[in-house]
Amino acid sequence: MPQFTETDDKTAITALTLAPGSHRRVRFLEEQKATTATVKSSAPTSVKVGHSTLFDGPHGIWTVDLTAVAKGAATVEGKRKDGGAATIAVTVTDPLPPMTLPADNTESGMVARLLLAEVMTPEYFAYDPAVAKTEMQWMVVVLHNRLSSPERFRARGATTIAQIIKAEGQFAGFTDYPRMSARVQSRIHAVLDVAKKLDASLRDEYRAHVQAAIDVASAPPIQDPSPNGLIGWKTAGATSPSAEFADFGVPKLGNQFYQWKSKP
Amino acid sequence: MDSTMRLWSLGLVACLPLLAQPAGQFVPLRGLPGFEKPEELLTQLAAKKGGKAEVNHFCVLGYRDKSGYTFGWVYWQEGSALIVWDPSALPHPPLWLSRRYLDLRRDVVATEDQIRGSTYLVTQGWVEGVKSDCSKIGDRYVIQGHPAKSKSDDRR
Repeated sequence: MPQFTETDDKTAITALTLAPGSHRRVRFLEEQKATTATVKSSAPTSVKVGHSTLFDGPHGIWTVDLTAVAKGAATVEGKRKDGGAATIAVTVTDPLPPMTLPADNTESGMVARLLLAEVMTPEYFAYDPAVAKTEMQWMVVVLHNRLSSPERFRARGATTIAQIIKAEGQFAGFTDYPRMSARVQSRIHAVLDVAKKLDASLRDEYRAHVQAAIDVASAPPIQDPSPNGLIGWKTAGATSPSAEFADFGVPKLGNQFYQWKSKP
Repeated sequence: MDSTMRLWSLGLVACLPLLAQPAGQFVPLRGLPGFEKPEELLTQLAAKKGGKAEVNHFCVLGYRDKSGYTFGWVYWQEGSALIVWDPSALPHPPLWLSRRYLDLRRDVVATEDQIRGSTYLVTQGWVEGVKSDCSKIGDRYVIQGHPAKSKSDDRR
């Protein structure tokens, strides 16, 4: 059966949501050697099909460029010579409200980025938005608690959260902030990309996730949930951050939190 | 895919006590929901980050934490990395964007005293424990060949 796919020629597409004025490249796979295939829109005033070019003749793969002209809906149909066809239901709708992190030179911007780097994202089975937000809040409590004894966290003399985060070897990828490690930067960009993409399958979940990070980073820390002071976290099962720490509760989304063994 | 893949199992045993960390348990990952097609994920990782290695050796170890959540640790010999693999629906997000990606050339210290509260540094002893446990009861994969890098692999 013919199908439309992303430009990886694998990921099938049956529906798309686009903003007016935007463009989208897809592929039409005939699933046989190329014929004189055609691709048409049912409503060119909403969705226009650009010139379709043959990308891979032996495999019958066509590149198709779509343009969202105006709000509305259209069915884009690709048809091969023998009549075999595939369709995409395209909706053209208002663009999403912007989703922007606080500036990277602000404390909230730095913390929001740290939270997005450290907390599990919505595509995973275990993800729960309420737990993710609690985890973010606990992370902020940890950052603030470290200000009481920064010298124990390679941040001697630190008086700001930024100095705590940038302390050598404490938070992966953040030592040279605002220059983050390439991997951490890619991870944060990937999260934001999904949150900004109109037709991403988990777009709303990602937007809520990013918003939670922004909200938590911009708010004062919540009351410390631990009796002795929440002071660290680590991937569950990895080496404990310190002999002075004790587990606090069970891991959340794969991260174990720690409190002081006894009140400092 | 122009690489060939060789795969063998070392006889996973369910729920063995974790040797490196007594608080958790090893569990077999193969066949569990969310851990399908590891070869595809590892091939993608090697293609993206594998450098010039013509053969890539991986070992995947399942870990069930105290909350009951199960995730994988992926040891990549040529890439000198230990990477968390959280279960998700296909297509899996790429491993290099994992919430924890330990570069074993940089993120490992000799003793626990040197961790000093770090949220990611681990000791050499812990790493060796994971590698040892994995060699005994983990799933091992060898990806041969040198897959070409592909920009489309950057997509999430």
